[in-house]
Amino acid sequence: MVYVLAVSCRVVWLGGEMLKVVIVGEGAREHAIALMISRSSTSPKIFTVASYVNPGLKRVSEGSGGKLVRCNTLDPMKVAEAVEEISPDVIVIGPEEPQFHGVADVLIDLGYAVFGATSRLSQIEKSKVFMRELMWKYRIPGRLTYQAFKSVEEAVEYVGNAGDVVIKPARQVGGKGVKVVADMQAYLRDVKSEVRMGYVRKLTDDITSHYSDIDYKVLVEERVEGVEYTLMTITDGYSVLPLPLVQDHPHAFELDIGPETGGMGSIQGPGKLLPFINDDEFVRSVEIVEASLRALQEVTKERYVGVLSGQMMLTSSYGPTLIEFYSRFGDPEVANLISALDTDFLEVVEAAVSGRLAAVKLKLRDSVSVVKAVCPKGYPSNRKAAKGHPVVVDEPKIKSYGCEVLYSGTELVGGTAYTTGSRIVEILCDGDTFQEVSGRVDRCVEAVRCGDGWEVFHRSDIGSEGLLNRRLALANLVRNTYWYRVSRNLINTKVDWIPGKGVIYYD
Amino acid sequence: MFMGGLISISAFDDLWDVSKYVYYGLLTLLNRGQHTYYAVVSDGRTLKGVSGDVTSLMFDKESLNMLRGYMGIGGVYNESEVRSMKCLNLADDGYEISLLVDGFMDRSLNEVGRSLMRLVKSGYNLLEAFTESINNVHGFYSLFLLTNKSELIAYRSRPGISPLHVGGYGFDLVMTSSETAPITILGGDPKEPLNPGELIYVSPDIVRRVRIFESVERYSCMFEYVYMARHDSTLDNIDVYVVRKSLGNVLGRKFKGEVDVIVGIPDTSIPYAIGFANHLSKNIDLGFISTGVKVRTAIREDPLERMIGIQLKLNPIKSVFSGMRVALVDDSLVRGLTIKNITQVLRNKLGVKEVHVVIGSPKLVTNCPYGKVLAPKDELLAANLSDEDAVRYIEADSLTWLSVDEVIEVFKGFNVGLCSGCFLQGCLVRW
Repeated sequence: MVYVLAVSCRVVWLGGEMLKVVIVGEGAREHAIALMISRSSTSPKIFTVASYVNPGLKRVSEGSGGKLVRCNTLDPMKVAEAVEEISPDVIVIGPEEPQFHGVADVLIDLGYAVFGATSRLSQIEKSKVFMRELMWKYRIPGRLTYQAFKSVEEAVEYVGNAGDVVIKPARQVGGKGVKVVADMQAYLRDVKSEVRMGYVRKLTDDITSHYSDIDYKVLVEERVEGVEYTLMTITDGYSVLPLPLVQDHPHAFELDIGPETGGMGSIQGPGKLLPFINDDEFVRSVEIVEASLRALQEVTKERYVGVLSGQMMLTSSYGPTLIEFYSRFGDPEVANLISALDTDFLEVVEAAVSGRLAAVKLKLRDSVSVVKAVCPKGYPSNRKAAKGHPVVVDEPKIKSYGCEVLYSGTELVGGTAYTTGSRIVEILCDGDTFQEVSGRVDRCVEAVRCGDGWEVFHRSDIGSEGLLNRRLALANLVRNTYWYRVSRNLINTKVDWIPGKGVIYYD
Repeated sequence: MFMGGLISISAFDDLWDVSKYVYYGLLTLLNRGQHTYYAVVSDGRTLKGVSGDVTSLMFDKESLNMLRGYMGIGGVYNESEVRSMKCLNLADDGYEISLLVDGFMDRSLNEVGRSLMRLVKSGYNLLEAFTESINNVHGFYSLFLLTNKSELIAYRSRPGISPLHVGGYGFDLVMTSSETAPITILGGDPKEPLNPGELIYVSPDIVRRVRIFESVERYSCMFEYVYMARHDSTLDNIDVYVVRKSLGNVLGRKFKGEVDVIVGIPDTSIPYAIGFANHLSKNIDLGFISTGVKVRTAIREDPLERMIGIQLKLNPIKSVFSGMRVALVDDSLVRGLTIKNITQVLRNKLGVKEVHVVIGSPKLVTNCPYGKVLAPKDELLAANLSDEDAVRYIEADSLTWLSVDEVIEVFKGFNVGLCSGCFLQGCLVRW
């Protein structure tokens, strides 16, 4: 493999002088990254380049001797300008959109040590068609069958008859826009056909009005069922360092009901596994990410330095299955790492940018952790209504429970914090059992409200015994079916029979 | 036995038209009501509803076709129930509400609806208005509220006589239903039952479970498990089929006679007969074949209708009964009409040797305080006939019931507290 290497690394640890780190981004993900970096033994100065003033990030930055600089993070030139003034030793690019817009590319060209994917590498997240093509080209396990469409009308016609499928925007649009239409009841088929067709029209209208960088518009994938989990990894382009598994909860409301969100909370532990994912499944998930990374570097001829996360699902069809790639940490999943990692995070970042990641050994804590998001009513479907409400957080109360608050969609305007329409804060807590920790987070949630009385909500069931038992039961079910399919050689081949016509083997 | 069946389906966006879901939802609930149906659908602007005869629903798939919207509710009821108002639609200055109730309120639905409307109009939010309006209303099991502003409330009353379950379908639908089978048949996943005194509020912007009344006492109607619910449902996380088999098992333990053949009276009693036969290590036989559309005979009010239902449902297979000593297993015995009809045919036409009747529930000795068992006390066999006369009346060789204690013991094993108002003198349940 040939990589275009970052020309020169500016990471130089000068005795006595404080290290300067720039974090690009403004959400809870970046707040979590900033917290982990701030706890480094090297006591770095943290500068945040953000498109709005997140009160949490502002505080961590200023507390470390750095500051928060406002700037349009989607404009690489503007980011470069801000960075040049700081002249940092290392830059971490948190969110995906600045990556898609080439912020890393420009900063690497300027000679900075950058932890975050370039525009070409981040295609693995941005373009779901690119990602699927890559997986099929390299025959990477856990790949779903799919159809991609540039023409809206073709897509509409296809989904009208497609049956049991998942419709996705072909471009990453903030983790939203996925429509899963289980279509198993013949008597409800025409209702769902209408939904799928209506959805494709709505989706393509939405994305073409928001994004100009669209080629393929719609991706239609086979629908799989199972237990989802996130495998976040850090890579220096040579080796892959898997982080502990985390499970996100995408449904907006309790009992796994309601529309898809960016994530209402996540659980992690104990150790690198989750209660419903075994070691073999963990190893195979890591292999999928590694194989995909190798393939990605081969086709882009670039070295990947940063985070590559696999949104995985344990399915009866393929075992560990790749649903989506993120070229960054999952949010809220990254918050769990604050609890889980007993390793100097900045040292890991430094090892990644300097290509020495293979030498890093992660130390994990034995505890389990739970993160829950608190959201304004209206999120995620009606963000306009959810936006602009004053945010009041009783931080001492949260601290008194031994929990951590991460600011997400909270913007500081003239000294007052307001909702941006997205998740307001995330609350992180760790301890011995999910149930106890989950209960403690719930008590902290009472410390978060909107000053104008606007309703907020969270999911008390995340980390509950009931929900965990459901996951365990589902994982067992799909695992048993998967191994049956393996025993009959039905994973990559399929036997079909059309009465009167004959037997067909799909391979 | 009289209780209705309710279903609600709500989507979070208007791409969905749930009227077909309501239609099939009603069909899945026909075990709970075979006389009248109501369906109301909201498209976020206005409410549209239809009602009619359940029979027409069965034969006409287009029954709900004029409805279109992304939130809908429906209910099926029996004849006696629709004598009191079950569905109420009110409109006031652009605000429309629809209420659908299961059970018998001690206040009129109209009164509840008007109070609700008045409170909303005077500035209460919907949840507050709902809570206030039903604060002192008792006797009903569940209440649905749908508005033209895309808001739905599904409430399970205290002390939880009938269940109400919440289910979901992917990222798109929330369902609630009187039992779980409708949810699975509509492609959803049953999630959890609501607690007595708890409601679920659904709107495109938020879903919330709210405990509006603390209910310390919690009593389930035995007939939900014994007769009403489908075998393929769970009620309050208890598998109905397993309960029925367990009751049959206890009957087997209790039964002292000698029989050659065990037959369950279709359809409800089959799991009882299986449990009974399992205990006695004997085979269960198929004894009866039904004709035409399945009719739930016990929920028919008119005696002639009931008799027609029984006779069409229960045509015996000769070779099973001729010359045999038979145990006939049934879930419950109200008036004894079904059993008497069968024993006469088995004796007079098929030459059965002995007929032992075994019943998977206790003697019904008084009428139900909630109106679930319609028959007045003077129409209950066990309340009016001595054991000996009961055997002679139904022309059996023996009649075995479960005792109250035996039934309570079985349900204790499933962690269910029973309302025992109908088989103990006097009502034990207070609201």
